[in-house]
Amino acid sequence: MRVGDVAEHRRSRNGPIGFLGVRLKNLRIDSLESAPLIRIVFGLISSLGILMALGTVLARNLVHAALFLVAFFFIIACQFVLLEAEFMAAMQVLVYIGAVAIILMFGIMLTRNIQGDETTGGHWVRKVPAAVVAVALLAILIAGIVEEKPVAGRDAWSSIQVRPEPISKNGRDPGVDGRSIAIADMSRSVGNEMLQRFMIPFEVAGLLLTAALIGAIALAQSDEKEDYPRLGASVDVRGGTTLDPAAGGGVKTHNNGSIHAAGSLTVLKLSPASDTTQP
Amino acid sequence: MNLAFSTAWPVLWAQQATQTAWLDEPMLLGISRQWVIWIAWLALGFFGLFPGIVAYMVWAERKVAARFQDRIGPNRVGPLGLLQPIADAIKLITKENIVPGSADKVVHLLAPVLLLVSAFLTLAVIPFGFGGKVGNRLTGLTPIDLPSGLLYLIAVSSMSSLGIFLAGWASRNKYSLLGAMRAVAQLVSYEVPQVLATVPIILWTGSLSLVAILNHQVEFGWFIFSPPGFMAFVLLTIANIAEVNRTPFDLPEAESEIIAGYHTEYSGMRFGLFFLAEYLSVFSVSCLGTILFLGGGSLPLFDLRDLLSDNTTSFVFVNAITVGVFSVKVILYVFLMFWIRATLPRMRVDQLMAFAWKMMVPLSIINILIAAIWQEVVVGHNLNYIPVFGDTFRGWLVTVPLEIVAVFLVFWIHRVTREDSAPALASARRPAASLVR
Amino acid sequence: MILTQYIFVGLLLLGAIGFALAPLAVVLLVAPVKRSKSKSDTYECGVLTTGETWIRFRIQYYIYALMFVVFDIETVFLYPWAVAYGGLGTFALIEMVVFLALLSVGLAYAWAKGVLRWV
Repeated sequence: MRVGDVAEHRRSRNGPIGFLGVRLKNLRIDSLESAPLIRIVFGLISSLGILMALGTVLARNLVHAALFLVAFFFIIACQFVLLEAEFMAAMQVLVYIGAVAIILMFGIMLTRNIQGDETTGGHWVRKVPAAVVAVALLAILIAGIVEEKPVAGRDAWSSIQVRPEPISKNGRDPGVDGRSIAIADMSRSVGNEMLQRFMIPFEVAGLLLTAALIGAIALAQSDEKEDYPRLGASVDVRGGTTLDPAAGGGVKTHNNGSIHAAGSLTVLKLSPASDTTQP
Repeated sequence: MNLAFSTAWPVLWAQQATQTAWLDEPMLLGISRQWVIWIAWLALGFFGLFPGIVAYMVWAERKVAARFQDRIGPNRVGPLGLLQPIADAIKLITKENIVPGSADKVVHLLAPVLLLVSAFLTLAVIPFGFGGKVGNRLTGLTPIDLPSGLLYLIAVSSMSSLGIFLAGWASRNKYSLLGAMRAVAQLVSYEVPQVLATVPIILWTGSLSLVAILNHQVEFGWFIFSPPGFMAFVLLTIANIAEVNRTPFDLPEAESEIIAGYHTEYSGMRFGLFFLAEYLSVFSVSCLGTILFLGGGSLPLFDLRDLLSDNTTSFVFVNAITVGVFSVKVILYVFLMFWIRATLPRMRVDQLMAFAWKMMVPLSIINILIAAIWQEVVVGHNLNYIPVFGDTFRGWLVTVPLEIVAVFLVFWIHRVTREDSAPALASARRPAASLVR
Repeated sequence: MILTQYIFVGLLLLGAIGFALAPLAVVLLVAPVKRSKSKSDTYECGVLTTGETWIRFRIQYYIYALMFVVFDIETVFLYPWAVAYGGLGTFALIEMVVFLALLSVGLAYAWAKGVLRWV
């Protein structure tokens, strides 16, 4: 393998990419007409995405529905990759699969009816208006995409087949393809735009995040005053009493050596766990 | 120089990416070279590297733990017990696969697969060695060099918390679910400082590519040799240990409280998959720590790039050395984790969460700002190994006191606001109260 | 080019799924299957399981997850900032200090409200 001398092999922008020996001409994502493989992949992924979306709506079990939604998030990440926006794809996975999926699951654990016998489905009186609203929303979105008015001097984005070259402030480096730099360095472009052009929205986003956090905490704190058991999970035993399966930090000790149980539990199990032994 | 590096990198990266025609040349049976290289990586990974690493990491951990406890460890199967992992694998495969009757069967199967996938995907971007050289820049011995490789790595490793939750939920066992809820709460809490600890590196390198980070360290010195870098390394290491659920952060599988936590209802090979995923993640977080802070495969004070020339022999030679150096660093990092496991007792769950949110998160946020100051002071100059005179010295002069103040501030605030000691302190402000603990 | 790199990610994904499922397939062939009523019971230390397992958990888990989401989105902003910082200079630093200060207010509020205390 000769690694050093890659410089002599300059390849043209529309160079072919070998795919298991089949050398497809013009296999490029930005020209969809001339890239049959990409079209096939796009079609496959998108139809899988639609299936996942249907699964989200139709699954009766809440965790299953959330899982379908997570699969759909993953499909979105794949779409970002197909658009060569891999920074966005990684962000999609990090935020949606890594974080939003967790908050969904924990949200589900706050509900009583995970199996979803009553929450999903329902009478046709509810189903029909829901279907009408869904179809209307789809119609509005399609109309919005098709009827989009282009900016003066440019094509409407819905009609663009070939991605335009990004315009750099300093002019293009003649040695390097401008598009490749923009793609290879997407995080920098995002950062530059965010800190210069979109400075105010960026700070407002910070404010919004803080507001969301404070709002959620304020709501949850008022919840806390209800008669919740305060340790781990609670289990409703058929007799109606509440008992606590050995949850972490079952017993708290203070510096003065006194032991007291946190919360308002009726039954407290002392286990020989390391966290209950104190000097 | 530093600034020039960070802005020049993407241009070079793009040039490199466009100059890959040689990868498209047919090599074997009409398959292009790129595909031959990738298939070689996959074959090496799946049939040699990954099972081997996991098997012998388990063996090493048992041996190390045994030595710490004044025992001998596995020594029956083969010389030094070296065949023990193979015996274990055979045992796991021939055991019955028991799925509880009330479990959610599909999700029960999906959970370990998701965990293992997340552990495997992280390893795609790690440069294990120097690779080739274009100009004065290394291409990195890595399957792929993504422009946002670090973000990719963190993103796919964050998928594991979902896998753990699903394992606990699908088992439909109270202990499993409790373990899973705890595990996820812990994982998400420690992921915040883990991610924040990597920000200084990106700040200095100006790129998310792990190969760019390797290049920067080969050029200017390892990142651990600066006060904010050292602090970030410590934070990352603590968060890494918590992310892979190892002692002192192994509450999700605290045997004395919740049987085995989220994998209580997994037996036989399905349990084996959890085992595999855990040790693979130990390996991948060790690789992450090594590549971010310990200079990857580079040696201090000796530039291995000079040995690289255009011929294949030098390529093989240099990469053998750099992979060796990289492995030594990873082994030391893993040993550190074994050591910590053998030494420290398990934390209490409230201490665990308080430590993440009240100490590590504030500290890592402050550390990012100190890293920015370091960038301002030392920018354009080497991040040297030792605080010599000049800008690096000035950087040390400014940042070391800041780091010390930050640590003391965070510890002090944590101390005065500590809830569990507040009543005791309020009732009687005894000076001895702090000594009892 | 980026797309070609991700072909490897796809291959690795498929390989990892195969790597996970292959031993399970071997288990199907090799391992004994002896089903029994008590074997497929939920294992809770030998005591029969009582009541429903999928019950309501308390809100604190949710609050932690929410704080995680907030700080995760913070990284979404921090990473591009860190990449672009070298070329932008002190003004970018001030912007980020303001942003981090805003988020720290949220963390401080959670701290003051006692949400960070695990009970």
